[in-house]
Amino acid sequence: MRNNIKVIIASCILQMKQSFSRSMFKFCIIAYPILAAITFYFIYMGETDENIISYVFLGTAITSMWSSISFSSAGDIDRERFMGALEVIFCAPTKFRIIMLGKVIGNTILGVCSMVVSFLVVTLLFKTKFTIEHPILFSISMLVGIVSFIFIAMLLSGLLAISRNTRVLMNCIDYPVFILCGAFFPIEVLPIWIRPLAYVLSPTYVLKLARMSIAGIDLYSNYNKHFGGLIIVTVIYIFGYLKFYNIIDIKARKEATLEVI
Amino acid sequence: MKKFFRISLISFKALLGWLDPKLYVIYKIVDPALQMIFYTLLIQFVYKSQDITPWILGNAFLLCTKNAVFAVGTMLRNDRDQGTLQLIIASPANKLYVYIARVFFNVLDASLTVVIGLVIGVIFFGLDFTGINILLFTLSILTAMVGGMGIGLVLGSIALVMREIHLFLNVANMMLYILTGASFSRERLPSAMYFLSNIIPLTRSIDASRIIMEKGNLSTALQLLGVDLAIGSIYILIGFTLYGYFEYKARVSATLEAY
Repeated sequence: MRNNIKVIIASCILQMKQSFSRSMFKFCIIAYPILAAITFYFIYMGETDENIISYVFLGTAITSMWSSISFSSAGDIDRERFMGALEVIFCAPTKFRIIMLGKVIGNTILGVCSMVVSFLVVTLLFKTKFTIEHPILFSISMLVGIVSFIFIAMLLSGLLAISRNTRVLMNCIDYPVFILCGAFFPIEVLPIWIRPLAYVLSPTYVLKLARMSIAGIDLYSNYNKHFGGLIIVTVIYIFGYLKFYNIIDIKARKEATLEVI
Repeated sequence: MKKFFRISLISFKALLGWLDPKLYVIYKIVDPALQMIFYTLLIQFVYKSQDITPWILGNAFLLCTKNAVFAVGTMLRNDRDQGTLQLIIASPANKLYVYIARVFFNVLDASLTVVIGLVIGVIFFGLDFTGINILLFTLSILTAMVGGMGIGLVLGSIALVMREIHLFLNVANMMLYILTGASFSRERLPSAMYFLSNIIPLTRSIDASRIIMEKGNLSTALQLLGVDLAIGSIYILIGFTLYGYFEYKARVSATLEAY
């Protein structure tokens, strides 16, 4: 256990150094939150501060955090493969998934910075009044949300590791998530038949919980329901990620195609 | 002319050589369709009862950025990465001719993407083309795409001397969403940004397409398209001049392959 933690920390630190040297990651955590906040602010201009906080700030913050965690983590296996380091990591005495977990945590720590950038843009540039009605509940929901993002990123990295076309697929997963999770508009504008899909994705719950914590909670049962939903989908992601990494492990050893999967 | 089309087609095929048809469909049809749905739902929610046709058009036109920014914008840099830049520079062919030929198919491909966006608008959001001047509307799409490629060529030339290429191209892409007024009225922009929005291509083509859809004054639309075509051509020339300048600098300091 202690050794695994050491590996996670080392992998996390190395990942942060590597990620920050990539220009796309710099875009995700610095430029995207600024430019997205500006774009969506102009669309929402004239709306109430509550709407601006709910959709411009939270929408930008959660989507930029989502992009920097999942987008980057999904491409990590592909990048390792391209650099010829995948087989080295794979054959290391520590389990492959433990090393990958460290990488995803590294991306997550940097991803949180994008949330801070969004907050600064909305409050300083647009001078929007920002108050949180339930700061403790907000912190708890964000913390659980981040853990959930880590595991969905692990699941995605496993899923996309099986495909050769990771880069194209990675670029195409942003908009479905933005639409389904109600990042910039409520999911109630979506047709009823598509809404169940939204509840498979953890950003939906994170956004709902964060909005409730900021604006005030009318019904605590509603808050608890969404919090419970977030926990359940996170547990599903954990099982999914363990399963996928197991499949990769078997496939790579059986077919000897680790570098060409 | 035959040579022009040959260069154009080979260049376009080379650009998409890494994709199979299935991925081309995902990248060029599914993703733009989802992007259109996202922005239209957002606009429908924010602007509520207002007519959202102008914003559907704006967002459909901006789908061309996939070609303009990410295909044309990386074209020259890909040449260097693949070792063909030195061959192009050393060849006796007219560089401007080769330069324009290489973006020609991107104009058609980008126009197709815009049409996909418009079809999404018709199917899901009731965009109505009844009784409009289709010829002029097509002209507005083509003018916008020429302007878009002009932006792409300028970005592509600058990308030759940039290290942070992805950061640069993605920022440029998002700036287009802000400056062209695709999703909101340009009057909302601060004066400096409003000025910038007036000196980039695409803006007027989008405005012209809105006038054509409203069955407004067609001569005003034509005038806007003329100005946009002129601005787009200036951008192509700026792109070519920058390319020439960087080529000269690279020859002098022998850094053509350096990055």
